[in-house]
Formats: sequence, structure tokens, C-alpha cells
Amino acid sequence: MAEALACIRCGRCEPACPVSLAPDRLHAAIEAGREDASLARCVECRACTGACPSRIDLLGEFRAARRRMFAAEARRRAADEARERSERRSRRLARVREDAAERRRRRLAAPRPWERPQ
Amino acid sequence: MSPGAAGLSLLRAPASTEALMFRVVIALVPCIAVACWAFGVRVLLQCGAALAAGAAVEAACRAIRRQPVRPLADGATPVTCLLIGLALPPQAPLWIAAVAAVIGIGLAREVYGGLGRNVFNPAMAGYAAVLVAWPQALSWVDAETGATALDALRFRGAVTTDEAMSEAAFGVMGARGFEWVNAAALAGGLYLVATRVIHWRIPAAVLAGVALPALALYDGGSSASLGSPLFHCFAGATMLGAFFIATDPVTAPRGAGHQWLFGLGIGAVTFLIRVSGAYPDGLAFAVLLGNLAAPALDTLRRDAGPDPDGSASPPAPPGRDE
Repeated sequence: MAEALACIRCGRCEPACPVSLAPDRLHAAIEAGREDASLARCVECRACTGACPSRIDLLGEFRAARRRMFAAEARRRAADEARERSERRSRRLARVREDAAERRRRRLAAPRPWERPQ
Repeated sequence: MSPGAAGLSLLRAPASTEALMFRVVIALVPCIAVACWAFGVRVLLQCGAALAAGAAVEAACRAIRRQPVRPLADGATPVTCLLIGLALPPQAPLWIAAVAAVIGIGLAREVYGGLGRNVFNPAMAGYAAVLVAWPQALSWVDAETGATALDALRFRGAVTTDEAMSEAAFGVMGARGFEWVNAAALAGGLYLVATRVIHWRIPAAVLAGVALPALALYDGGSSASLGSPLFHCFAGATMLGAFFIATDPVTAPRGAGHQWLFGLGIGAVTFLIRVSGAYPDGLAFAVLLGNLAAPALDTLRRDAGPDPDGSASPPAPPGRDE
């Protein structure tokens, strides 16, 4: 297969998309290094890639971009959960220390064994 | 894909960019043939000079950018060079065609990054550059061909259009020679519309842009008349511009409404320059002005992008079966 040419802005990809995305705009965003949130709606049906007269691998680009987007989102969620776990642990440890300190105070405040009434 | 693959079935819509471009070249053949019949074989020499210079500068620029060279392979340079060759008057020196091709392809296309990245129509940029630099050499008026119809109509003094149009510069319905070149361009353009290479929207808009002001200002052909709509549609480079130049997808706006504006603007500015500007035919400048407006129009479209179900927030990551 001959190599891909540049986008000639012919507009054949947009009517081909079944979920009403604008593959030409997505392609331009990916080329510019930007992220486009509407990539989430892509169903990877390959219609736009088939319509492109310049043989641009739109599906390949969109898949890679979606993977990056999902991976970044997964990392964010993992980091959030880790932070929450860490905070819960800190609170638990603080509680344990507090309980121990409280028991110690009570023990020391109570009467000594030789002072207890017989 | 070789260009010949689509050439075997010239009635089907082309599928690749190369096939699209070469289909435009084929659609230009009638126009070139009629131009040779009307103005002489030197038209072919102009096209050839432009092609040679265009191929050379395209190869040089690609080599500098360390891209595969493959001269003329994507078909865009032949289209540009043939348009330049048709736009220039045949008696102009051939080196001017070469300069126009070098400026058009080297400066207006390759420097921007090559096919698909240019802002201005390369053929019009090259032609406008040489037109402004060597206006004498590019006038169609000289002892051999006589005044063109547009010139004759504009500078005719106190003569009605009927009387004026019996002069040598006029033919059956418009400018002598030019009218048939325009008719051939119309035929080629209709072929492109029929085979879905271009949409009819922009050509219709350009012709409306030229014809409607002409119609509005038409007073039946008095000595002050600016020319009938029919005359203007078949004079100068109107048909060529409407079907082959303004329809370049790289430099035209994308949205339907914007394309109407674009075409109407080009037609209207062409008419305006014809009747009150310094050049007999203003198509090149009108197209370049339209090219300037196109990215701005596209930006408007981008901001109003579709998001019907409001799902434009970052997605949840898919499950493990992705």
C-alpha cells in the first residue's frame, strides 16, 4: 500500500462517521499534540479511514490517542485512590495512638494497687 | 495506487488523492484544447514551461525536507502548472510561466509544508505575483491579439454594448475566443461535479457572485453598462475560476454555509475589480482574498463543534476486556 499523503481537507471523512464526529478535526488535533475529548465517542469502526483519499491511518491515530487518554485517566484514578488509602491509614494510625494514649492516661490516673480499698 | 487505476473508469468517482488530482487534469484537457484553437499552440508551451519549473522546485523542496521526491506523483503540481499556463497570455515570455510556477509551488505550497498545508491557492499566488511584477508582459492587449473584450467593454467610451459587441474583440455571447475557453471550462467543470470530484456549491456560488451584481447593475446595454451577466460568466477566467480554482479543497472553507459565502465573495470581488479596479480580470486577487478568509471561517466552525449528548468530559477507562 502506498504511503499516506497529507490531509487535503476534502471532507469525505465527516459524513462517513456513524457517531457524528469530525475525523478531520480530530486528526488536526492529534497532529498538533492536543487532546480532543470527543475521541471518547469513537467506536473504531474504520469508516473514516476507508473514506480518506489520502490514505491517512485515522483509525490507528485514534486508537493510539484513545489509549493514551484512557491510560492517563486510569493513572489519575489510581493516584486518587492511593491518596485516599494513605489518608485513611494516617487517620487509623492516629486513632490507634490516641486510644493508646487515652488508656495510658486512665491507667495512670486510677488509684495505685496499694491504695485500693481492701 | 497508480493514477491509471482510476483512469480506466473515468466515469466513476476517484478514490485516492492522486486520482482526484489527475481527474482534474483530464477535465482541463478540453479547456486547453480550445485555448490552443483560440489563441495558438503557444498555450501548450506556457503549460510546459510551468510544469518543468514546477516539477523542479517541488523536487528540490522535498529533497531539502528529506522527503521522498517522486516528482508530480501526487498530481497537485500538474494541476497548478496547467492553471498557470492557462491563466497567462500566450504571447508572454515563457520564463514568466516558469517564475509563476516557482513562486506558486515553491513559495505558496512547499514552504507551507507541501500538499494540504498551504493557505493560498498556489496557481493564483504565482499568477498574481507575476501579474503585479510584469504587468506589461501579462496584458492580453497587444498589436497581434487586439484588446480583450473586458478591456474593450471597460474603456469603450460612449458606445452601447450592442455596438461595442460588434467589434472584433467580441464573439457570439461574450469575449471572442474567451467565450469558448469558458465554455470548455464549464464542460470540464460539470464533468467534475458529475463524477463527485467537486461539489456544485462553490461553482454555483462563484457564478452567482459574478452574475448577480452584473444583473443588478444591468441597464439593458447602454453606453454606461457594465456588461450582462452572461457576458461576465463567459469572459476572462470566470468558469475556470468557478470550477477549477475556487474549488481547491485545501484552500477553501469546510462548512456548507461558509462555502457559499466564499464563492459569492470571490465572484463579487472579481466583478468589482473588473468594473472599477486597476486590472481587467480580478479573479486571482478575489481568490486570494477568499483564501485569506477561509481559515477564519473554519475557526468559527471549530468553536461551534457538535457535542449533542454533552459527553465531552474525559471518559471512564474501559473494563479489562478492552
